[in-house]
Amino acid sequence: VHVDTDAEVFRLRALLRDLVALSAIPGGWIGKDPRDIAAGLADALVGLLQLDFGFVRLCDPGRSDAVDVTRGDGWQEFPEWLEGHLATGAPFPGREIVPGVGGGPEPCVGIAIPIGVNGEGGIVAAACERGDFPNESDQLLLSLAANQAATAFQSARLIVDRTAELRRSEAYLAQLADEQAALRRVATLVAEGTSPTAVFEAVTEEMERQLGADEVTLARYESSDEVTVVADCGSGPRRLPPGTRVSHRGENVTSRVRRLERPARIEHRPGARGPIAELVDARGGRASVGTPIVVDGRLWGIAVGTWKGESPPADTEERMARFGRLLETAIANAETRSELIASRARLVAASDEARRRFERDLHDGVQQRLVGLALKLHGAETMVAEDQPLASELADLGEGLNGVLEDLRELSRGIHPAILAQGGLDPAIRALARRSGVPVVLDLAVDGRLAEPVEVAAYYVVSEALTNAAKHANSSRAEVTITSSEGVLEVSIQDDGVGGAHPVHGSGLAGLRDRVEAVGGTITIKSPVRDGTSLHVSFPTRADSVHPEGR
Amino acid sequence: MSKPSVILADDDVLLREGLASLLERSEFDVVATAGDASGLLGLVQEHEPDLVIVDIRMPPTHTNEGLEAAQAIREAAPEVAILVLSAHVEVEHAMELLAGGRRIGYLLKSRVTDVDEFVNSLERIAGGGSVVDPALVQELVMARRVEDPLEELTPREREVLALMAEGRSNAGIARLLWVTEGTVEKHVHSILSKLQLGETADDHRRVLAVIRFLQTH
Repeated sequence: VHVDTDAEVFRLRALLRDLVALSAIPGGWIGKDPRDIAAGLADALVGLLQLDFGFVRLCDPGRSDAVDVTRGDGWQEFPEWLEGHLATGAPFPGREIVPGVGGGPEPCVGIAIPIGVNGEGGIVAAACERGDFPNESDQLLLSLAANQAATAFQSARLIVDRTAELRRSEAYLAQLADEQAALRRVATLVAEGTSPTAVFEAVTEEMERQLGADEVTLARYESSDEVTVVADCGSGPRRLPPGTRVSHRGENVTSRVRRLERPARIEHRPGARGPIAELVDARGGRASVGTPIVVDGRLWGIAVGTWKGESPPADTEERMARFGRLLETAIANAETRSELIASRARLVAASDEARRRFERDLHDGVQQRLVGLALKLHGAETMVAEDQPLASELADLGEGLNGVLEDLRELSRGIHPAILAQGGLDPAIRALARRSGVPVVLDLAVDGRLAEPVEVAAYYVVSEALTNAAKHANSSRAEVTITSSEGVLEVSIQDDGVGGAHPVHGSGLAGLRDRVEAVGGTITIKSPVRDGTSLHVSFPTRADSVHPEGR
Repeated sequence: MSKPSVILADDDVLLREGLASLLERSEFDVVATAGDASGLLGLVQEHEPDLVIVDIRMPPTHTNEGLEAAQAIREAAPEVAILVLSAHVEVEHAMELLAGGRRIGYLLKSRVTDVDEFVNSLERIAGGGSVVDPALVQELVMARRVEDPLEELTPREREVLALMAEGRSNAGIARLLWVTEGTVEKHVHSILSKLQLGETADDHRRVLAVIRFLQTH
């Protein structure tokens, strides 16, 4: 066998160079897209190894997606053979050498080498007109290339997967952060004691946004097979205003949650029966998830999300439940609060009634009787001669009685102003201003009469503030402004006294808060030291605003 | 001259009877009494009295039945003098009554125990004057104002102003203050010009003007 040593050395050097070049390739491929790797390898086949045709398919075991890259042209038969072979989907157990695939004048040989076991990782294929193709070196280089490609591809895939996973978890974290922010917003509303109606609205809107739902409805279970809607938001038709009663007869998420007392999911079938199914149909809903709302261990109601498209992700129930727990707190708080307000209102009403009764007893009872007695005494006096000792005793008695009557009148002042009940706030406040120890500038714009508890509360606020201004604040004047509009009565009292009134300790201001809050009002007291005291009270005057939503 | 005839309406029997005997002793002729306001107008039309004394709070609601009865009588029989008695004084009530015209009185119920003064008030009302309770006048005069027009007045003038508001004539004021009627006239003239109120010879219009001034300033 003739051996051309120089040529052999040259060939080995070239092989070594190519090996090194090929080995270096994967390092540059790390983190690249699989398509870039396949392209890089195919380029190396026709460029570096100077083959006429190169084909690289990269795929993951068990993955359907594959990346194919072809380099070189003018070739028909080998690619066609390859295609035919790949199209069968049959495993590719070992390298295959396909002679005579060229369409040109020179004979051509093709070779296909599987990547991984049975070609699960893909194929590296090449064809060349060179006479000795594929010699041992070619086969070695191609095998190495296939191996390198597989490794690079696997690690790249891993990185891509990791990146995707990272992105997914980033998205998840962002979603979690959004959700936390939403939960925090709702929790703040709850902590501030915002009216349940406002909390319900906020929660349904946040849920709709956070869960990507098309509709979110919040409803309270009634004792029958009905729910009362407390909030309903979404884009579909047939919106349900709060207070709407809907029967949950039939198969729907609302009845299921009631039965199971745990979260439930339902896919809607068109033509399902029952009012809720019809409603969901009308709104174009496809899937619904419901979570129970349990207050004090009792099933209170349900939050239902409805989606028009695909069924929402598997963690939806869990995410809804997080909102549900906030609602539970909000409702429990509201119930405690409304009970508190109701009991305060009862206390205030009872004390008002007691004052009213006392005032009547005093005027219609005691005073009347005293006047009657004084008249009788006077009658007796006329029957006694003026010079008798009895006459002067009777006169003394009469004077004593008059003194008692005078004391009584002083005492009864302001106990319960009859004029408030008869004439309303305007004359009652004017009387207060006249009797005030400090000059008062009045600006009253009250249209007509308001609910009695509100009038009484407003009256006592002004009375207390003016008493305070005169007694403690050392004021030279006070201003009282009352306006009523848009369902709100605003009462402001400002003095120019020493300030520093403490809203909790003493000075009667603390008692005002109870009285004001009992009728659903709010009170703000500002009393900076040496800068006067200002008191602002705002009362809702619509009939329904006094009683917060209960059960 | 015959005794003035009176109808009395008060729901308290003791007080009603006591007042009736006081009136009888004081040369009034009590022609009828009532325990509530419902039949009062009928009694007035039947007896055509010179004077009606009515308690402001009577059954059924014990609020201002007497006030409403007084207004009804005023409309049906304007010549009848009316005294409304109240457990406490309210400026609005006084203004409503005064707006109805002369021969009107508004007094605290406890005033009946000062018999001489009470009888004097009745005579003034029956005689065509108007009477406003001193406690109410005090509330109006003593009310503190940011820009108080009453600061212009001397203490004596304030005293005279209060008596004017109570419905007293110049002669009446002169008697009470132990001064001549001429002196009172001078005070009145000074007060009215300081407060920029018009002169009037009519005592009732004077009361109305003074009370309205005090209420709105």
